[in-house]
Amino acid sequence: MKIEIKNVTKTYPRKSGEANFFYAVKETSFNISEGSLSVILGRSGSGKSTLLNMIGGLLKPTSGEILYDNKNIFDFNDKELSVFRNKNIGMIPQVQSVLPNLTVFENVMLPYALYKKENTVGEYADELLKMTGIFDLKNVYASDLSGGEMRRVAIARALINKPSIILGDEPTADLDEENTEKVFEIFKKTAQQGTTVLLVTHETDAKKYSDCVYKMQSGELSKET
Amino acid sequence: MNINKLPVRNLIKKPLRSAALIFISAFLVISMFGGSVIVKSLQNGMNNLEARLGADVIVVPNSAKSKTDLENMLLQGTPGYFYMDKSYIDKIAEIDGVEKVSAQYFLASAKAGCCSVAVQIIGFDPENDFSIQPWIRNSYKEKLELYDVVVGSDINSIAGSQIKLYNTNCKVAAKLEKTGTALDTAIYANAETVKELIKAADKQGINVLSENNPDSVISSVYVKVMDGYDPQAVTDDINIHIRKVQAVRTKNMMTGISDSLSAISSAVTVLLIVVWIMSLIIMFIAFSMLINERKKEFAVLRIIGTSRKMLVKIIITESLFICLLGGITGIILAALIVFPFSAVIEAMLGLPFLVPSFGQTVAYMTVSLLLSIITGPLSAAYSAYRLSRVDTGLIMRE
Repeated sequence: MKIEIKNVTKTYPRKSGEANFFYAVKETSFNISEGSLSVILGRSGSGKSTLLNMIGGLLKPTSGEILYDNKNIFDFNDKELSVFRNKNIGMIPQVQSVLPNLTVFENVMLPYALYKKENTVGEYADELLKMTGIFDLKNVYASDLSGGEMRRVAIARALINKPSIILGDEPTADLDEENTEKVFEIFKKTAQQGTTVLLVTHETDAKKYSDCVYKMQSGELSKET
Repeated sequence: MNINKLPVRNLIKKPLRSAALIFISAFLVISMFGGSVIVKSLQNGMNNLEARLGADVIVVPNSAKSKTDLENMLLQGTPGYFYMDKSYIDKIAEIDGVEKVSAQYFLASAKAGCCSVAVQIIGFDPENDFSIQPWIRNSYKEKLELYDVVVGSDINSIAGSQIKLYNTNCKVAAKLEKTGTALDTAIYANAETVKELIKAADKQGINVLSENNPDSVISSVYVKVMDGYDPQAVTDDINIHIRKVQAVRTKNMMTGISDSLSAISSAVTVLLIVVWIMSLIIMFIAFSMLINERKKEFAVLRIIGTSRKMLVKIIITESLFICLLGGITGIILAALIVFPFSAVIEAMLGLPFLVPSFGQTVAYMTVSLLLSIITGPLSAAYSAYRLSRVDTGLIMRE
């Protein structure tokens, strides 16, 4: 799936001060090619997560368009956008995002269960759990997991619907070196299989797995050479 | 994994939180259902008493201290007796506007063999009675013979058994259905039986009549007023034209009790409205806090593709389950309080009390349950709607 970010900005109102709003993301345009692994590096508060949330359809841009195969996702109504996100976008949020009242397996299966009644991906879910190294925790409630384990549940959950695009916001936060490497390997493999992967991270090591590296500074995106 | 199971799982995995909300909902239903049943029971008791008296005017001798003794006997169940000359029946019947007259004979048993306390014995004249016989016929269709008695529902005897009144064996011909009034603790017989019992009491040294002959006395006269006549005018006429008696309008006799009932009903109704509004406010605050506390959890659902509508549905379903469970719990608790302890409530209120029929009870249950079920979603709806309108990205950013 071809993704085009066209003249996108995001401003937030200020409660006080001279200007009545500030730019979280300054005018940004770039394309993400299908089957690539792109990385956006930058400090905290530089606007990376805001940009990622806009690309994922979770935050409406102040101006500009997010085009998936030439369709602006913010022209969709809520139901269309939700179904689109469910089918096409696998998202790993920056914060811990597991549902504490469900088991690891149920958390992973949740995106699939939203719109489909029959369970035909149970084996695939097991495969993802093995891939992320949490198969032994399959029946453990998410509330009993460590931060790193929760992160890996979110990664497996993002992959369950075999989406066209993976958006990861600090996907390796809370992970040790070994697991960080393992996760980047998974993303690399996923991209090689045709899925577009866009990661936002502090990890400069991510560069070695990526096809394209961007840098975000004070809301401004630039491509690293 | 089924998304529809999510609300139930959320409730089960947070038992304390769920229990607190269920308790609030149960409290609402206990107040609603319990309060409604109590008010209805009082209304039933009142209506039943009015129907059972069946007369527009009751005439008693002045010695009955006007209506007070009669009220005590009929409403509070305090046994008593008073007598006047039989000739008053004809005098009252001659008053303009009087359609029917019927005499009654009262006697209080000191201590009947059947009962641990004194009971009221009420005699009636089968030839012209229009007050007692119609409802006795619901339980017993045969003619009452000498020494046959019909007992109120609270008298500890069964049909076919014998009871001893002033050392006289009487046959219990039938037991009446519960009325929720003092009439439940009375014994009914024809006039001849009561006269014989008065004589038996006399033989035992209990002289209730002084120098009078039982065959020449009556206790009260029940009067039915002709259509088109004002019962108050007929009452006044009797009081003006007939000496040494006091005519009391049954409606006036009921006024005191009616006022108490109306005051209780109004108080309970106001209380129920206050409780419902309070519950709504408490539930609203509880759900707002709950949804606010769990907004990241709901944001996750949006991230994986849950639409606004689905999200609101999940939250509403959760609140619905809470209120349904609370409602059922409340109904069970209220039923366990109101029905087994109706006699205690009756004694505490000192008013006629007859629990509603099964159909009425089910109707109150349904309305209370529906009210409870509505309260949850109504309280949660605004917070759920508000949450669903916020950009998920902004929630994740907090």
